[in-house]
Formats: sequence, C-alpha cells, structure tokens
Amino acid sequence: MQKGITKILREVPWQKAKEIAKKLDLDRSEVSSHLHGSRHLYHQDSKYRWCLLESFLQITITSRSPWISTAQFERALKNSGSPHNTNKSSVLIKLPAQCRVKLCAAARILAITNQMIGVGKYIAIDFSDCDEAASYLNRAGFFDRLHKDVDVFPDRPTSSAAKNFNNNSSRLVELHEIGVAGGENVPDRLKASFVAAVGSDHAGVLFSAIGELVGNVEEHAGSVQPGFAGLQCYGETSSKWLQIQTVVSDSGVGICGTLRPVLEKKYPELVAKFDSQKPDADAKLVVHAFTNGGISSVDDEGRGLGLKNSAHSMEVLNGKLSIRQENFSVTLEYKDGKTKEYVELDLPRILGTHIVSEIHLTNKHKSA
Amino acid sequence: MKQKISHIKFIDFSGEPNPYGTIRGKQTYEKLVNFIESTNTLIFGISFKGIEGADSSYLREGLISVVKRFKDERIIFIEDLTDPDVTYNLKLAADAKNQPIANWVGSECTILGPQPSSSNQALLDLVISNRSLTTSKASLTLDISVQNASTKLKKLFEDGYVSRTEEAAETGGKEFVYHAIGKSA
Repeated sequence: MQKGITKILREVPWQKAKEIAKKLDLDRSEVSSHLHGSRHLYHQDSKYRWCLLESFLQITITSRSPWISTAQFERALKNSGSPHNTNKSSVLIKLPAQCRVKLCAAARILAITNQMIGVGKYIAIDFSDCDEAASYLNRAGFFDRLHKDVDVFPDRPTSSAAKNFNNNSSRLVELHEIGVAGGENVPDRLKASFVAAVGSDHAGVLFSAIGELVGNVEEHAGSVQPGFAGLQCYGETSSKWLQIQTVVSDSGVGICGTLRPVLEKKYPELVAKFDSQKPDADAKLVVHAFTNGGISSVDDEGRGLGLKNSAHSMEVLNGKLSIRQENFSVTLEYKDGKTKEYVELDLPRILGTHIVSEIHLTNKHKSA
Repeated sequence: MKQKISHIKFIDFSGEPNPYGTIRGKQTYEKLVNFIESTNTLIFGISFKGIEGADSSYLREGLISVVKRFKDERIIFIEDLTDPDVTYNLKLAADAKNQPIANWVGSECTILGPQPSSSNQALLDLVISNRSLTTSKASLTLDISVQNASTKLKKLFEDGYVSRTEEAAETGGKEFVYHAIGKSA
C-alpha cells in the first residue's frame, strides 16, 4: 500500500485519503489508518489532504536549553537551507518539545513563514510537542500576525489571547503591525510597557531607538507584507537582573536595498569604500549607516539620522543591536563607550530587515 | 519694542505625547505650517508641555523644517523643553538641518543645534542676557568697533540666532535693534 500511495502522491500531491483509496481501489479507512500511522512519511494539511514529507523542506529547531532564540532558529535554518532557495514547494517548521520561544525567534519565524505564503509555497508550523510555546505565542499576538494560509499543528488557536488581554501586561507588548499608514503608535505602546515593567529611567532613550527603527520601516521597507514590532521583559522585576528585548521586523528590501541604488549618485566617495564585489561590503555599509549616519535614499536636507540615533540609544544603554539582513547579520555590542562589532556572512536567505535590541538592567538602574 | 507672541502647544499639532518618525513628522509639519500661515502673528512660542518623547526624525520634519520654512518671515522658538532625551533628539535634528532653535525654560535660554562661531558667541550671549541690544551698546560693552559689532550681529541675525527690528535711533535716523529670539526687552 505504501508504494502505491507514494506513487500517487508523487504524481499528484495534496490528495484526500478518500481520493487515494479510490485510485488504489482500497477501503478509505484502511488508507487513512496507514497514512496516520506513517507520519514520518506523510503530511496532512488542515484541509485533510495528504502529501509526501519528502517534498518538504523541513526546518527542525533543536536546543539544549528550553529557550529558543535567534541562534537556535538560525542554526536550524542553516542546516535545512533557506526555504527561499529550495525547489521544494512545501515547508515545515518543527519546534522541539517543551520549548519556550523568545520574542526575537518568534519574530524571525513569523517573518519567514509569511514570506513563504507570499511566494506561493505551502508552509506549516508544528507545535505538537510544545503547546506551552504556542500558548505564549498566542499571547504575544503571533497568530494574529501569522498569515491565515499558514497551517498550524496541532491547531491554530481559536481565539487571540493577545486581543483578549490587549495591553494588559507590563512585561510583554504583543507583536504589533507596523508600516501601515495611519496605524497605531506602537513605539508609544512599547514605551508604556517598559515603564510599567521597570520604571521611567531610560524609557526616553529606548523610545528614541524604537521610534527611529519603526519610522524607518514605515518609510523605507517597501513591502506589501506589514512589519511588526514587540517588546518583552525577561526576568523578575524583583530580581537584580532584567533583560529587555525589542524586535522591529519587516520583509522589505533591506537597508542595502534602499541605500545601494543611490550610493553612486549621492555618495560616490562611499562606492569604493563599500565595493559591492567584496563579500562583506554590504555588512560594512550597514555598520556605517548605524555608526556614522548621514546616508539616505531621500534627497531632503538632514536625512540619515534615524539609524545612527537608534545605535546611539543602544550605546547610552550599554545595549546590543542585531541587524539581520537578507543573507548576513551585523551585531553592535556597546559597553562603557566601547563598541564590539560582529558580522556573520552567508546566512540563509530571509527577506527584509530584522532588528533585535537587547538591554540589561540591574536594580540600580531601575527607578523607584 | 515688545511684540505680540502667539504661544501654542506642540502637542496640539503632534496629537500625541510620544510622536515618532518621518511620516508623522510630515503630518505635523502640514498642520503647523497651515496654522502659522493662517495668522498674521510674527512670533510663535511653541510649548513642549505634554510632550513626553519624540525621536530625531520626527522633530526634524515636524518642527525644525517648519522653523526653516519660515526663517525669513516669522520668528519661532520653543518653550518648556526640559526632557534630556527629547532635547538631545531636537539638537540632532537642528544640527542635521543646520537650523538653530532657541529653547526658553523660565528665564534661561539655550540654543539647540548649530552653535555660532566662538567669536560671535560672546555677542549672542550679550543679546540673550540683555534681551534686546543696539549695535552701539554691543560695541561699547564688548569693546569692539561698531563696524565689527554690526557685522557680527548681522551674521547672527542671518543665521537665525537673533531677531531684529528697525527703530528710531536716539541720535536720529534709524538703527537695528537685535533681540533674543522669543524674549525681547
């Protein structure tokens, strides 16, 4: 039976058990039972249609710790390859058992998942072994931002916990849509959440960073898919140590995609400095935009402030800024006036700009 | 000669206490320009009371661009900006557009953005501390020639650090009186 089912699904994928049984002249329940018992070979979508798993690109996230961060997601993506660069038309993202997903990883999963729908691929996320993660992501508004055509297993939540508890957490700001004309003031929401969680000290500096980054998405991302931003406070407010993580993510043309086309005409002195033939040229251009500023695709006077100011804010807060572009990432780590710069090249393709900022606060930094 | 000042609140034009970004800044620009153009008032004091945060991109578009737009027609200064983060961002915006702006908090005036040359700074300080000043008084106080004082004050006026009016001189004829932006004597 297995050979017959495999042959049929190779010829025409996404068939219901009833259709397969008819072609094999077998009993429907017998075929259905075989399919359900062979999940390592077959995948069933939310419309009860079956397909061979061999036709899927599988992104299997693993982690030694319970936490899934961008590092674990990027490693899984490196192992599988980018779903943008495969001829496989279906993608399955599987999360490990009893994991907890950090906001930064959730944002990246969300981005690539919606991008797959945008290019016409089937994509599913499997939370079968980690219902707690699905519950947290529901609270974080993940499923509100997830394209309706993405299959979620075992089930997509029937109601949005983010909408039910909207703005009712001082520690988590849901992933809010950004880059939409007339949209809500998301940086204001994030700032309010930060103040409620840790006090007003540093709230203005953090707001500056988030405002500049969200504003940049609104003006430059150029994506049909809306971006999103969120904030999460990790650690107990009573403890000595708190980590504040914010994400600002879009699926647009990327920072270099905006700047490269104008470089030769507007900033000829930078063309040689960031020679596009060199593998790290784009990464260095991004570092330049964040550290020196003053470059913009817009001709108006005084442009190119935002990225530099967001980096300055992280410098003031001794924070870390990670900027993931289509196939590389840049991390700027600030500590007591010194900057460490990390560049990772040849990363699997994810469209857009995905920025994670992290700051650590101790009790002495927190306002009363 | 004391002139009428229109005191307005920036939050009435931003519509929110924490505005951000270029797009929202351009919307504020439109509202503020329309308001200023709808009146004959020469001097506007824009209060920052109620503004809790604002990034540099927003302030560049929503405020500094307005000041620059009316540079030769109206006098615009700000009041009550005490938040250090907003002040930093406004300074960035003013620097980026090479447009100074005066911030009055009580009787203290700070110029945000590009600063005058060190040789002109003394004259600017003198105008601000006196609120209003003639060229001859500046010349006497700083012990520099009238010609030198006149050149420097004219430069401060042209660069947007001080305002001026033409008034009848005690000795007959007319002379320029230079004023601290927003709070003349």
